[in-house]
Amino acid sequence: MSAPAGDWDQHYRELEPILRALEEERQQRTARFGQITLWSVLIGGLLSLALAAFASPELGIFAFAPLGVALVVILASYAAITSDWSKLFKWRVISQLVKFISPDLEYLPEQFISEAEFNQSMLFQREPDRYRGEDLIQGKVGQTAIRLSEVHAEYKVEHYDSKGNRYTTWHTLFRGLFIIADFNKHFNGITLVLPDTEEGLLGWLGQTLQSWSARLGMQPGELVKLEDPEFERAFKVYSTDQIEARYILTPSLMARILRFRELTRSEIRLAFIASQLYLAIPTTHDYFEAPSVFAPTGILLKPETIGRYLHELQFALAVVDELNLNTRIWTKR
Amino acid sequence: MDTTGLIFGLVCIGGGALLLLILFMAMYNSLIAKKNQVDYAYSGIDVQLKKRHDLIPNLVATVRQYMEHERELLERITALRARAVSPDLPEGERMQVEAALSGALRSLMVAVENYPNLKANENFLHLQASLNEIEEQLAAARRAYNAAVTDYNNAIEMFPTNFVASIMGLSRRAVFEAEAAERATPDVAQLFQQ
Repeated sequence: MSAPAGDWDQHYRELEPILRALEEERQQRTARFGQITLWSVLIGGLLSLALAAFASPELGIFAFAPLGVALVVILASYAAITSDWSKLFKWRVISQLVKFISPDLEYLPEQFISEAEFNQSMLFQREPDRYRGEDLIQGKVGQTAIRLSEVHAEYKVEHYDSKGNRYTTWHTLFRGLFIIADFNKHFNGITLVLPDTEEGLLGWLGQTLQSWSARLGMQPGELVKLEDPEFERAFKVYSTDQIEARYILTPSLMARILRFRELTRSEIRLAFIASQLYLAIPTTHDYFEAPSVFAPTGILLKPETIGRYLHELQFALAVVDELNLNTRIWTKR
Repeated sequence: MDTTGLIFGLVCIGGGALLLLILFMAMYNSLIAKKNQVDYAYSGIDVQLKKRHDLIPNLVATVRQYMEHERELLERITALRARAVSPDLPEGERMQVEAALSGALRSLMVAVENYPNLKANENFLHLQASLNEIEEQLAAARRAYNAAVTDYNNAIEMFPTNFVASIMGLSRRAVFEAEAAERATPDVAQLFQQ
């Protein structure tokens, strides 16, 4: 993976004061929250007791109002303490790690790949009704321009119950890492590499069905049958140009895509459109999230904590090396 | 037999015949489409070969000034290229000439490693990238051709299209085999002697 790990020790020395300050801040926050909770319960409880004991009996249940107020105070302070903690961590730590992987990369935790770009990829058969994302990383790894973020795209289904009332359920279309990278060859058409669900079950008949789904306009272009049987079992390929599809999907790239699929352990999808590679890696893991404010003392200073984030970043950017995108021996520079 | 039975029988026979005709038409058309796909894929190879022919004179002219010791190789490439573009070359021989040209160009690109000055020449680097591009496209075109031929051969031999194909007089086509030189493990010792 893309690890310029040689100077990691030096980089970690630079990172350590940042981590130390952040860990201190985290402990202050936990301590403050502890104090607020303690005093709220104490004051609220005492006031409630006093009211219950000495006020007129018609006050009834309202004697507990001070305890209720205390609870609201505790919840509000919890929200205040945790809300910007994740932001703080991302700005200070993740952006440093991104710079370590490549100085040509930048990290924008609140931005994400746009819905328009997501739809351009043609990787999913429908457009989402609800679209969110975070953790945009963009810039260059070697010679390859790359943009990636976490994306959660959902569509809604409307149902009617027996009384005719309408209710809506939301279903996930895609959740995971969405990557757009500059491909190392020029091409004009559209080539889609999608997980194969039919051929594995139905064999030859499945392939015929796939070929018809292109002819009926459900997929762009036509079905491309490739020589690598293992690749054919894992994926189905549609393209507007049979030769161009093979120009992109050389035997070596097919082997690399298969290996990348094993590495990610998920049903990846790839689209090659206008010299760009769109890659969707489904995962339920939430990347680059800060450890909890209430995690055990010193968690940020453990090397394995930071190692885990570094590993996540390397995984997200691994596509460049795994698919050999920095090899520029063709006419595209 | 009463008339209703007769009409029913005729309708059945007529319907059956119509159905057979439609099936025959569908199979006939799909076979023609597959045959044309093969020809189309073959023309894809042609386009790339032509591009390579256009590139070679430029390439030879650029490297000639640098590569004093490869005169023989360059002359061979020029001669092969002249033979490949000559209009009276028989179709059967054509692919052999192109294969020999591929081999000679590969040797040239290996020999280039001995000329550091050449590898710094911007014009040469551009030509080298173009050649890589063409070779990559050529490989893709060959694979597309092979896929089209396999599809066509399957249709010719599989039930039930094989009946229609034999009526149409269609026969199997051959796929491109990897050239012997490409398949053999490279002899590293020999590469070093060059």
